[in-house]
Amino acid sequence: MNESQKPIIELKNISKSFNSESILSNFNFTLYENKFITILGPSGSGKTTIIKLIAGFESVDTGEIILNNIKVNNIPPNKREVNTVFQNYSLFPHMTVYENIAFGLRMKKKNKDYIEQAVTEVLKMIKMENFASRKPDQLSGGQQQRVAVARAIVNKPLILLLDEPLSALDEKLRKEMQVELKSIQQDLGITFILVTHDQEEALSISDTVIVLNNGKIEQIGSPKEIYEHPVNSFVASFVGELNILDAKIKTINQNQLTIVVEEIYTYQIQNKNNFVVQDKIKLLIRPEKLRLALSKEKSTSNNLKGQIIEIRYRGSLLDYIILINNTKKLTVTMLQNKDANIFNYNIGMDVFVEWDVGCEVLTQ
Amino acid sequence: MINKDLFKYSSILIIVFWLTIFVIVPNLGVLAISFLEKGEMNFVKFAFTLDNYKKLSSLMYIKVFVKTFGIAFYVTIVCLLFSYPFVYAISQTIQNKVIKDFLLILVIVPFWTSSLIRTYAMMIVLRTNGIINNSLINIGFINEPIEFLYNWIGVSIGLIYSLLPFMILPLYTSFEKFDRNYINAAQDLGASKINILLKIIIPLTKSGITSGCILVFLSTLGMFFIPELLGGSKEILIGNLIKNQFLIARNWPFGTAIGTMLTIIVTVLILFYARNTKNTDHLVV
Amino acid sequence: MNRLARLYSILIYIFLYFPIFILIIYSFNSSKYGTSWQGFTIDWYKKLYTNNLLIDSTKNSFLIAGLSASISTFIGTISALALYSYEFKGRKIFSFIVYVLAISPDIIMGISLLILFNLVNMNLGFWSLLLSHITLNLPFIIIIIIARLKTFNKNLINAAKDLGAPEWIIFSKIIFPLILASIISAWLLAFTLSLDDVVISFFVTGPNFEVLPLTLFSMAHLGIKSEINALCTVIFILTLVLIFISHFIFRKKT
Repeated sequence: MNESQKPIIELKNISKSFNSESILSNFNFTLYENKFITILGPSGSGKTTIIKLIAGFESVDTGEIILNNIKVNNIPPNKREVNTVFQNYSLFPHMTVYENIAFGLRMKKKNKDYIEQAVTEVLKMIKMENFASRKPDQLSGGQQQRVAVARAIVNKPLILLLDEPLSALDEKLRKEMQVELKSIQQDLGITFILVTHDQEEALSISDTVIVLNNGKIEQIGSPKEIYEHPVNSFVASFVGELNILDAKIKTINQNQLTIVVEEIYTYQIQNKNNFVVQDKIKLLIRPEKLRLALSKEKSTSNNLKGQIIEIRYRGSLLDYIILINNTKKLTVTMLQNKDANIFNYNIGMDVFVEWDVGCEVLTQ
Repeated sequence: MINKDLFKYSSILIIVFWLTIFVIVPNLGVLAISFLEKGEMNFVKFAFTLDNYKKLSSLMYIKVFVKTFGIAFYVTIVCLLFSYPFVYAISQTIQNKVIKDFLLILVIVPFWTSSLIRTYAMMIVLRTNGIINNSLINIGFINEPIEFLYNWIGVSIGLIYSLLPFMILPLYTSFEKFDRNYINAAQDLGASKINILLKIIIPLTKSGITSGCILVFLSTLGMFFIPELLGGSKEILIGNLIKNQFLIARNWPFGTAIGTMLTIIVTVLILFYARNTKNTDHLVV
Repeated sequence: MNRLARLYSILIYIFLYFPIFILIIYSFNSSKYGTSWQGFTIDWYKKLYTNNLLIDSTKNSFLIAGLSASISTFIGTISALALYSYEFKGRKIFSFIVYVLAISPDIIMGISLLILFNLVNMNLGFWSLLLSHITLNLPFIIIIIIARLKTFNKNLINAAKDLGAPEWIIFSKIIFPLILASIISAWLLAFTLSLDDVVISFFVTGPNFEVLPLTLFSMAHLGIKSEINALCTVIFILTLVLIFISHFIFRKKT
């Protein structure tokens, strides 16, 4: 991170309440480089509020919003160099695709030739050159979405805000659009800030993910960091599937913890979090990091014994639900692969659930 | 099986029957009589003539038509200008549903109140020793009372007063369908407040604007008792003409000729309106 | 900006209500011609009771209003159903006629009906007025009911048909309860329209059958009188009551 660089956007000590309910408090975030940022969080976490604050549709109770080194707190939305793609697209129904896209440029009083060129260019980018004279009600959901993006980016904003833009699309279209958005961002080189509650979306296209909960940033990092090294159980369970086991720390020897998992299995693990001896910690592990084995002798990794109670077929993957200790359920996800030595695991079988040290995360 | 058809046919029959006898036939009668001569005893003489229409095309009567259209146009514009900001304020700036409902009822009350009563009330207010003149004189603003009544000022005020709710209600319906997000999108794209009004709000409330205008305009064309009460015998509009021919001059053929002209104009306007509104789904079932 | 808008709205409300407000106040003015305030009185209201012409007119008006509202609501509801549900020749034309009637000036209907009654040599009076008012109310009732029918999920009716229900049952057990609120509102509107009608009554009623608006009209012609103020106030209060009932019922049912 180059300290002498001007930050593109700085959110300093932002607080915002609605009807005496605090949505954001002491929210801080700084961005130095143009990236694809995703704000990920459940409904009510405050993520839409952040976008509205940056765009200017809401004003902060306390704090500063600084865009390109200019404090914009009191600048109305129509004067900020920020554009938004709205959740329902809000394409002007009485204007054609061309007029919709040209609108921002017309408001900036650009001349006719400039507008013609810019709109055509952007139509090419979204692959909708032949749709220029159509009206929004003649477009499909995916097409409307693309026009909404085009309408925003043609203005070459400093930052593009996207408010859950893909939530109205079906699965297949979503995935296509995710790829398209990413490539547009890379082509344009401007900052995209996307808001979503879909963690898969966040992981697949972002450079940086901000995980938000109840108005507080839980973690900021690359998708890999968020997924593989979640800092707490909220982040871990929100992003991706997760198994949560109870464990106790029995002893600490220099940097090694001796832990007992589900009162059954004991092993040693590095003390990354500076834990002290205690009774209640959690062991988090992803379903795909677990394996099934039929017998103990074969296993050299950690394991827990259990019984298969459910099998879910998911096409290329299989989910096995294992009952441990008659109390805990674990999900083990395995890839359907001809080469792997997968026995015909059936419901009712006794199995061992294995994992390698280092694949798990310990939290309070 | 019989039940189904019986209900279907009798219900269709009822409306066709009623409209034929009480609308189609009478209006054909009006048309027919406009081509007849005035009789001495029986109102009409069965002799074909175009005299009624020739009379109608004389300058004196053309003037009445032009005057009526002028006032109708003027009243429509004023109602629109008064109502638009009003409806915008009620519809878009108030969030509380209960208050909004109440404010809407406050508009519906004058809408349902007899036009005659409201016009009479306006007479009380506008007369020379009425409350407006008396207050202005007391303040010292004027020395002589202003003649609001028995001229086109009074008639205009009366018409505007009567017809304002007819403009407000369609506008309100239109505004309620208006999505606030469009304003946000326009702001996001750099539009100033004026631009938002001109390029977004007005085009998207167009159906309310045209409905309201058509209602007010057409209503003005046929008015006679408001001009009579507030304009005396000085302000003659098409409605007064017709009434006079039927009930005073007893010249039914001429009266029906005027009526037919009015019907033609009204129908042409309605067709024009229907063609120009994409949203004709309220016109055809 | 919002504050300005709110202030403006208040002005418009004042404009709408001020004359009526003055009217009501002056109905309690003991001065006969209401030129200046001379003290509070309810004499004019008392006088209304003894004015036989007024009482007859009022009775007539209420009778016509009640009957025409009821009959037109009945015919109108059935017609609305027919126009909405069935395909038949001339459907579009008749729908168009209904809408044209609703927004056309009343005076055209007035003279056309006058000619009709003359054609069949009917005397102008109760029957001509009743039939005219039914015709007056019909388009509005139809429009109101059709508007309500349009908000229906067609699947509701299809489901019933699928289960073999005959037309009559579909109407009475499914459709009718759902449009009841609109029917009541339509009735109230028709009642009010009939009660307040000046233009059509002007042409189609006879000297033997006076109605209130016409009586009021001829009185108003002669100038301002406190007695008229009292009458108008009473009618206004009645309208308020009708609106209140309509709104209350509509709220409850939808």
